[in-house]
Amino acid sequence: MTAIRKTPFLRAQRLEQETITLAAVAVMTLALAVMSPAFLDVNNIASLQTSIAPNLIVSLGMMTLFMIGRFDLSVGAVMGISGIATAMALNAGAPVPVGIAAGLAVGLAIGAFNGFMVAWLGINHLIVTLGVLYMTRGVIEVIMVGQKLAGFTSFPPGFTALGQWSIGGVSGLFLFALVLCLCFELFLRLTFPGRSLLFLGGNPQAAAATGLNRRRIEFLAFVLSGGMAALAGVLMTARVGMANRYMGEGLEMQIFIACLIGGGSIAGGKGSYIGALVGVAFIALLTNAFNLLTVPSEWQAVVIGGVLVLVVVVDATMVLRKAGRPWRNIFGLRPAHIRG
Amino acid sequence: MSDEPILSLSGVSKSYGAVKALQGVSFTVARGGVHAILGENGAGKSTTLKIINGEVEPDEGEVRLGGRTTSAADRALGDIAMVHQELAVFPNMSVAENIFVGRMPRKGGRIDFARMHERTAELLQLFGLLIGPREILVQLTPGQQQIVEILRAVESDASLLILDEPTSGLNNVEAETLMQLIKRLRASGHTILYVSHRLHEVLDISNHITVLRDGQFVETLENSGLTEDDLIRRMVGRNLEPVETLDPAGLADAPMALRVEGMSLPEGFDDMRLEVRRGEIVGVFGLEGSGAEEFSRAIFGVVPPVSGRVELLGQPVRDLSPAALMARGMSYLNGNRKEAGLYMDRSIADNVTAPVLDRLSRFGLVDKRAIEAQAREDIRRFAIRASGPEVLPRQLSGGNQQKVLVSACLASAPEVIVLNEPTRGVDVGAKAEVHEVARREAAAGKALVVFSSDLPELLRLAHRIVVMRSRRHAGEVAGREMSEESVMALAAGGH
Repeated sequence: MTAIRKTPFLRAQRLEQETITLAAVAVMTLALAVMSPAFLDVNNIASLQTSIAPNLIVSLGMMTLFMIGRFDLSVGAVMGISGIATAMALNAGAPVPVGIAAGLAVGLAIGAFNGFMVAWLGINHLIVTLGVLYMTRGVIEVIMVGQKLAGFTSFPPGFTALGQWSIGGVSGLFLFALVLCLCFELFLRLTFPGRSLLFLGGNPQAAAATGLNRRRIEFLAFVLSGGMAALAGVLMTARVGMANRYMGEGLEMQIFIACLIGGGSIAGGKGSYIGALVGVAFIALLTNAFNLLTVPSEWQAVVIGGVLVLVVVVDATMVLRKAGRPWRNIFGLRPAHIRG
Repeated sequence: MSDEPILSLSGVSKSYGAVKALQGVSFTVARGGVHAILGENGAGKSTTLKIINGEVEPDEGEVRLGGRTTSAADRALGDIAMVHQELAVFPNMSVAENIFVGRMPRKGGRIDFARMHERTAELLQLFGLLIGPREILVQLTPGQQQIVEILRAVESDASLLILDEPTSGLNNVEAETLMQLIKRLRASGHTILYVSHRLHEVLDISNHITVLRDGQFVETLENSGLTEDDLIRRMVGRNLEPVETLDPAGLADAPMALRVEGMSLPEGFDDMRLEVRRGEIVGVFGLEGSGAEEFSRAIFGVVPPVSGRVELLGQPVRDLSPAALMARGMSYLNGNRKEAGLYMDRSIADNVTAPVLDRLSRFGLVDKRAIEAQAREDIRRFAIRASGPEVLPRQLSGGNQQKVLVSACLASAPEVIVLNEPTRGVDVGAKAEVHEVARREAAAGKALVVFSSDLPELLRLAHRIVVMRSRRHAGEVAGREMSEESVMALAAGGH
């Protein structure tokens, strides 16, 4: 009897893509450390942490949606409006916990709206969340009419302290996001509700046949996504001491790309929260590299967009390869591969 | 073991609209062993399984499970595990997770992975499978995935296991492994209801065989000393109206119109060949899962094959796409008129002229009058019962919709015509009219390929029938040799 081939660790844990991205992150870190003396500067490290923390929090919600084959484009706008909601509540004299609750409530409500539209009414998630992105940005403009560009800038010290504590030089917000990420990863790997996300994404019909409630899971995942975006918005408002119309602008695409690079797939059934962390770190380092190497900011968008297209093409190609299609067929060089 | 049968059906009937899927079917399944259900396409096997599995409530009759009369809802919740023909696995999850989905052992809120992997390894070893419990399913062959799905049903401890065509997607080696698995299950006292078209498998593993034909119970046989011919005779044996045989004489010299060689599509079919001469009607027949459906789509480039050689009217085809083939004189009747055949909300005139709009245009502008004239002509020629060219297909009967579809297919005056299920779901009258159209085209020197799951139709219509089995070319019968028995022997028989 031949021995049973042992399943490689990375495949068994479904961390193959994550490892590749982690390797890219490591290479980029090394290269930057060598090429730019400013990279290891205390200020640069601090700014990296500040940019990773909120993105990681938002991406935990987004990655949850990716696992079940959905995504949420409204996260950047939700982040913005939640910060503003908290600022308005605090400005009106509400105590700090009430202010935070106000911000989170707005995010959860928008998430619930997204979830209702997608899970219960069956409307395409791209359409719903894109529409909500525009609506929310519009509401922000309406609220901020007559405000100065910097928006709300005066906050009680109890609130700003929330965003600015640190332990041994490491940003508290960054640590909080890491701990949150770890909790999510344990939930995904050890509990049945966690596994059921991947079951649902892998084969929705079969999942329903084994008793999973697709609509409920989908709805809750959208609520979670809205809640995480709101949490990031509130914490960033505390961190920078400002709530204005610019917060979270364009963030949805960065998070989207980070989740794809970190092992998620638009088709669902793939991904991990560790992957979200790695993907967010990749995007943060890329942006940081542009700044350190003084690449004009216009080119940053070009490169990040290019990376997105590349990752999506590779992702789609792998799906077709798994389905047994030969290379020439995938790229449509000859429509039918008929020998002449 | 008690003598009480585990399952008994008595007088079970079910109709879908005017179609009687089952009429007064009664049979019993004894506890322990493998009980096979056999029948042609449309014999009522799927409906029977759906009723047993509690997916459908029968119109009449009762189903007793373990001696108790049960409703469909009881059975859906109860003691039956069914493995459907299509894979229902999670390709992104591990073998263990696939087997235990929905019933994962837990320890204090967490999944007990250690116990799950241990039990999975036990199961895999018990059935002699060399797969690790942590392997991800997408890495396995379709056969191994099918086996994992069956193990999920085994692990659920159901007292009745239903396997619906479990080998239809498998190659011979994988099918053999599956046969071993089923024999082991039988040896360990499981009761298995087994549906398959492959007669040798059925004869190999089953204790009892129930044959259905045209929605009716024929016979339950003890499997001892039976041959494939015994089974085929019971599966077909229906009275056909006398067949008006088409004269194949003179066709052998006609020029070749379409030649297909070595055409393959992974998970579809392998190394298919087909030759059709001018004036000839060639039927292609295969039971469900034989690859005939995939072949019908590949031949017109709807789902392009990955390899093969096609010659159309003597010229090699390099671009096998519907647009290119139409431009070169080939036409295709889509098997599914509702989803892919007709523009249900466009008028008959728009439907029949859509393929030839460029011919009916002047200076790039569509000529309304020419369209209407063409549509009136088609309505007359194909005897479409509609008040005028502006009527929407949605308002017509199935048979008349089909005639609209056929006239659209013939609008471009093609030389080679592929008809896919030309009379699915139409009444007898419309069926005869469609057949008449096909014969007329052949008599005019056109070449026709007809794909149909309705064997009597092919016997009446075709000069020659190409039979597919196990996703391959199984053989051909022509002229006087064509009979239900000879075709079924190729489609369901031997290795």
